[in-house]
Amino acid sequence: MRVLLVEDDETLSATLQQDLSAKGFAVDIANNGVDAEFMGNEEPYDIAILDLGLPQRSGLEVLTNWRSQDNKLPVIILTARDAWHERIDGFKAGADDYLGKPFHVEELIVRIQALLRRAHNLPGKGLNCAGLQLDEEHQQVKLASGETLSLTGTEFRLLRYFMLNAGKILSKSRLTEHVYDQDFDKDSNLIEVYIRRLRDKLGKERFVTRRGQGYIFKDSA
Amino acid sequence: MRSLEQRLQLGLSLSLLSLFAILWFLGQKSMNELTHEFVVSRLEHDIESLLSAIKISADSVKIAQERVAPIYQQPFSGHYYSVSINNAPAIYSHSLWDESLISPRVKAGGRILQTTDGPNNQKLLLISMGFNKQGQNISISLGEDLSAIEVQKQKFKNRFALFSLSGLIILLLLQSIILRLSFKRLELLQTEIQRLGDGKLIKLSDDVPSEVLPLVQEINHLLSLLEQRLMRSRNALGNLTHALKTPLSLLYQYFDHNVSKEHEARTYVDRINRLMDRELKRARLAGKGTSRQRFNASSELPELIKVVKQIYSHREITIDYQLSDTLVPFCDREDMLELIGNLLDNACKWANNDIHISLTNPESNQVSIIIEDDGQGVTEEQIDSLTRRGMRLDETLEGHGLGLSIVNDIVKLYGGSISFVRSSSLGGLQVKIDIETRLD
Repeated sequence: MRVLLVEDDETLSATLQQDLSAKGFAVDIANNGVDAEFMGNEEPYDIAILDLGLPQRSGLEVLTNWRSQDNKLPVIILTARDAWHERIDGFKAGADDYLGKPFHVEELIVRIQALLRRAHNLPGKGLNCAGLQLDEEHQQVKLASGETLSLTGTEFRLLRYFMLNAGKILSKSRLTEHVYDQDFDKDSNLIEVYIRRLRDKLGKERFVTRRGQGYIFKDSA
Repeated sequence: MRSLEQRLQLGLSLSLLSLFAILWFLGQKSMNELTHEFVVSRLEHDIESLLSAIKISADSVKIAQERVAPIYQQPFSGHYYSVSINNAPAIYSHSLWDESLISPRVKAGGRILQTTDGPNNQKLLLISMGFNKQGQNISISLGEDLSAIEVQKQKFKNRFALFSLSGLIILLLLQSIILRLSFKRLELLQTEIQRLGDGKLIKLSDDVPSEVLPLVQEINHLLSLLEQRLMRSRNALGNLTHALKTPLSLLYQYFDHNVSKEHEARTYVDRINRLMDRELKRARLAGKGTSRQRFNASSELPELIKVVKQIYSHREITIDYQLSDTLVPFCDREDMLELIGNLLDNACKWANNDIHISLTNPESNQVSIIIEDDGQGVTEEQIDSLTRRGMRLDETLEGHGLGLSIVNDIVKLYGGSISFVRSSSLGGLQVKIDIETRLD
């Protein structure tokens, strides 16, 4: 899952990047409104965390611009301005969630996970799909048999992306884009390696290969 | 006298009245003088011709009757003469019949003018003049009855009075209409000022009489100054608080990473955050009598509910609302959003599924906000304590923390009341708030 973190305080964004990476998110940082708007339009992010008080262009303006260009990127507003009328303005501009500063990282992560599920039309508490239950907290997967398997960081990110997009054809480049941050070397064939590992762990039949197109995670076991 | 209109009315009426009085007086006076002059000059003429009709011979004095105007022959015609020569008894005109005319003897060159009583109760203007004709001292008095002229004069006076009086009344009426119309424009200003107080206007219109324009401009200037000052102080506080929140976030993160350590320091950070939040929100409250946007429940409440539902989208919560038709935009928009937002937020924390909110106005200047939930979490004691402690609140009671204390601040600011009971329809907590919406 790729996250665009828009925050002008570098210490805070660095800490957040660390915390989010630890939870299996690939985080890119923008520290001003103009960069943020550009990156949000150009890169295939899964979610954006947007501060409102930004240099050059306000967060609300960035969000309005995204929405007017039909960019449906799920957005959590993270701001010190959390009076109710400001929240209403935020939601009217097209925000999906709103979190006031100061905040606890766990709260932010819970909201990111919930919003991602909502954005992929998967309501409910955890991420369940095809008999698998993903434990995002501990980066484990629980099989229908009750057996729990731990996953490495990349395996976890990859499986989560597959589960959120079950039934869809996912190209190798799309998988790379959503699993790694923008500094990652996109030519790498590492994705294939990780898919092989997931197949070994969860069963070959779950990941169907479409020659020249990509992979499908089957949504029913 | 307080009313400018009444004062002007009175002043103008008095000056009109005195103008008419002077006019009246002068008119009377000049008319009297005019008739007097006229009569006197006629009498003088008659004296001249009478004098020439006096024939003096060595032994007698005769008046040639044929040369005297016939009016002096008719009995009691109102025109009389008496002629005295030297010390001889006076000769009277035939018109006097057997009456006499008491008249002074005047030396040659003398002239006396007087009014006197004549025959038949006539009022005479009597002119007596002395001459010397052929060595004889002749004193002639001529009298003319003024009553006919008096009647004419009186007629004229009456007409003049009627005319003046109706003129005066018409002028007074006109003046009062003009004044009323002029002051109508001031009444407009008055209603505008009232609307300003009610917050329906942000500034006064410049379209006023030039006399009050400086006043209106001054008021507008003060209003904008006040608004600016308010904005500045609010912004300063807001900026400070917002600026502090990012480092505070960092502190949160620091303590999140060091969970076991420094638990106490963490609670301090929490407290700082709470205090900042509360003061910021308090400072933001507009309260009564500001000229900011009103809260329009029918358009704003659905938006607010949408936001609350989005925040609690991970839970199945339904929020019904009910607005009375007679509700008009009231109080300050941001204050009311903060008030209702916090109440809904609290209700969401406690509710199982259902929340009901209703806004009614039992009286024209009052709004009642009732928010109920179906949560079972609140015990009777807690409801009691919420009521009893008058919401000094209980920042420790989970869910009824900062939110309710800011609610309390807002309610206080608007001079309202807040009460907590168990909801009879939903079973959870019912919060009822009554606020005055008259903005004065």
